[in-house]
Amino acid sequence: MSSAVGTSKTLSTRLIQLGALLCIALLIHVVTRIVPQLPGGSTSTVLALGFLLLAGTLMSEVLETVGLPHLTGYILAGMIGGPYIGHWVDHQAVKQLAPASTLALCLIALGGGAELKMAMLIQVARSLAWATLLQSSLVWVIASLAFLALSHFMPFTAEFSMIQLCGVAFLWGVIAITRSPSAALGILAQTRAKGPLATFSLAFVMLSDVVVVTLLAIALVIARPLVVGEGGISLSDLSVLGHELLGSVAVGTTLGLILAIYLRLIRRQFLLVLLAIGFSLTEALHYIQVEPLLTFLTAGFVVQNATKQGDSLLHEVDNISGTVFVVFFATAGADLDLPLLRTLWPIALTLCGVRAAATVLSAKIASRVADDVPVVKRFGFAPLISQAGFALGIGAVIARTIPQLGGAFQSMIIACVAINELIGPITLKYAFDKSGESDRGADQTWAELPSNHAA
Amino acid sequence: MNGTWLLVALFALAYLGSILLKGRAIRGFGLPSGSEYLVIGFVLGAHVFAVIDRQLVAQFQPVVAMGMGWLSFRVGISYLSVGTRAIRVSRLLLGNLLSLLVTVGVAAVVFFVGRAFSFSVNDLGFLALGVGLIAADNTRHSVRWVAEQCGASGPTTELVGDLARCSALLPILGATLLFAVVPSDHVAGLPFALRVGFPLLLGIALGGVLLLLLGRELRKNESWGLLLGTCLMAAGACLQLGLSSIASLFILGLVLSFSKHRWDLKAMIAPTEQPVLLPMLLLAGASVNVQLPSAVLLLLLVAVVAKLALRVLFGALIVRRFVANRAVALCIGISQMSCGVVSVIISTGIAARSNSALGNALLLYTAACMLLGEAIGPAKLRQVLDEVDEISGNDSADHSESLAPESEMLKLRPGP
Repeated sequence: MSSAVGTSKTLSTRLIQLGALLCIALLIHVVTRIVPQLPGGSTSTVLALGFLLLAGTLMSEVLETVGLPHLTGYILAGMIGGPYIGHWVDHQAVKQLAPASTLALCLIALGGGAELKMAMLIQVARSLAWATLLQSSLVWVIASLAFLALSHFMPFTAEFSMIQLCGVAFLWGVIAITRSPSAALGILAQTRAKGPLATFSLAFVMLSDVVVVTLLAIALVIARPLVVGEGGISLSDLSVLGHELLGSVAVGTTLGLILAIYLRLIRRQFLLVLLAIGFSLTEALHYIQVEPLLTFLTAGFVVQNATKQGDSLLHEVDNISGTVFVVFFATAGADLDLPLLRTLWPIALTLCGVRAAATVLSAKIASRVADDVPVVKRFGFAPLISQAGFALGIGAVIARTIPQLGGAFQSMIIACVAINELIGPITLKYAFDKSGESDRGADQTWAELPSNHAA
Repeated sequence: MNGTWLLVALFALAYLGSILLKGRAIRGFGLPSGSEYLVIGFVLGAHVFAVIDRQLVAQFQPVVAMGMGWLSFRVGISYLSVGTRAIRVSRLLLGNLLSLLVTVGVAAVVFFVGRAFSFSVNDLGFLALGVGLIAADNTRHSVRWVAEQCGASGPTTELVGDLARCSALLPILGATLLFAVVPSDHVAGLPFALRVGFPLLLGIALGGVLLLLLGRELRKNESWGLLLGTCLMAAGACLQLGLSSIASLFILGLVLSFSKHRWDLKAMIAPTEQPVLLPMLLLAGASVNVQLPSAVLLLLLVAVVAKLALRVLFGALIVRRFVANRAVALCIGISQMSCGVVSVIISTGIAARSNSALGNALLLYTAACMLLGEAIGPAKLRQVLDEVDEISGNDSADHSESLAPESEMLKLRPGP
């Protein structure tokens, strides 16, 4: 295929992209005004998916001119077209796009797992250990205290006793230590960053998934009796965690081996195989209560480290990475509850500010203790700001497990995730650009991400 | 069966389709038009085993719409060329003239015979035009299948291949009229011309936009997002308005075939055809409804006979200019009975849109024509090619690349 790799885009190209963006906005505006919504809404889902894909791609290109990351473009396209601004993609369409979004997340996790090479992990093991320890403890504590301090300004906590507030704040801490692997991978794919910061970012955000799932289970064991106010700490809840973790690793390992065998022996039409497995397995995994994200992450990790098919898997996933990221983040943008954000923004912004500050502080301390290279010392916090679907998923688990918290707690999570979702990718891209690890102007390729160029 | 399992089954079928596309050794496997998948769909559908019931089919309408739209796009982008060989203008005109004659002839026969029954003029006109347009389709898959199997190459092989490819334009564009007759309530008040013209204008506009976007810089990861996004937008806009999405996407593909990157784009898209087509055939088969009024069934029978007669007549008349042997010319007419992807996307789209006995009748007519065409078309074509000495024996690897799958041919093309 002829490619423009290495060429910068001209002004006329940008103007064409902007013009195209306006054209499709006009088109969807006219169509959705003539036919607002049909029963079932299935046709509007086709239109919505098309719009999000096209607008997300074009918006990311247009925003590239001002140095913003592609992910921000995808999210903004979703927000503008979503149910609160343009009203072109309605709630029903967003809901119907959820399976596509889940599948995208699983494919992102699979690619992410395959990026984790054992050699790379060993290389950054010391940094990783200190960062994980401090980010998971210090940020948890500071974020919990901040929540406690600000609880007077949150109407939904008015009825809670001090003990209950402590329990809720404890859970808030878990939300605060949740990161976004998809955002980090998206930025890495776009910038083709190579170097110590890229390696550290990738390793940390991937590992943090496992850490957060574990800590969530422990936090629920401790916080539930405090919030609910009855019963004691039940260690039986940990068996659920054990089942989930071991189940994910077991299923993921099996899946990884199957994928490796397929890649070794057949390889043909791997995309179709991935789609079929993605759709069917996510359904099945929910049924047997196994964490899909962790399962796909493990599968990718197994293919990369236990077989010789790692590069093949990365190459195959790379072929669909562009589309997958657009679908996932544009849908996430459309799903952002902007009116809620408008209501809660002062408290949400404060909580995000405290979380960011705690993250920076923890990163600085961890880097100093681990004696990291200067670039990680300076920008090691950057990949840890983003939050996205994983944090929302954790929030949903908490709300489901402790219904007494009500929808307001989840709304606060959504508001904070929205802010971090917008700020995080910009911060990370800025860090890569400033650290000189970005390889600007090159066509994105997942296969050439830092795992293959570990410093 | 629930939706997830059906989806997985469709993926499996798509996978099978992708395997059948690859490798000379197994190309030509299966029936020429893929009608076995239509039959499997019918058997699994509501009439026989009810594994795929009507509710499930309805649930998959967006998937079907996207799949059909994509196939139409694929037909559009490859309409003007076979592999890297551009089809001559004279062939284009000839193919379309043949399609027009068959359409008008079959529609006229059905219309006049149908007046003997108690149909309203509107219903009869709808049915007549529908079957006429479907009758005009002659699938290129069947020609390619025979060429693959027999190792055929030469001017006659090329002629029938070109005519088959050219036959797609009229049915797809003509179907906009049928869609315009049954629009959604929201656009029913718009002038008829606008309902017909909107999908075409949308295809031109979005095709032009895509041409500009991809024409300047074709970057790997962006191309798929832009292609899929534009196709889905065109399909979604037309579906929302209840207009012809297939015409829109066909035009979009046609416009894109003028891109300087057209060979790259065709090479990207060509391998997706079989994986999309087979699941769509299965779902189309599951949608076939044979419980129709006897008058409609009788008219469909008349339409099938009319198609056969007119194909033989017009095919022979037109092709005689190129083929001296009269008997061979007659056989070419019969060989053009094969129909496939274009008929299926038109009839499935209209059946889903109109949700009436007439829409179902078109789908049933397509199924009947596909089966009949499968039975007689390839055999006659083989006979024709044998008569004109274009079959090079049993060595299928020796045949010309003129009708080989485009995905393979485009790989052979030197870079621009």
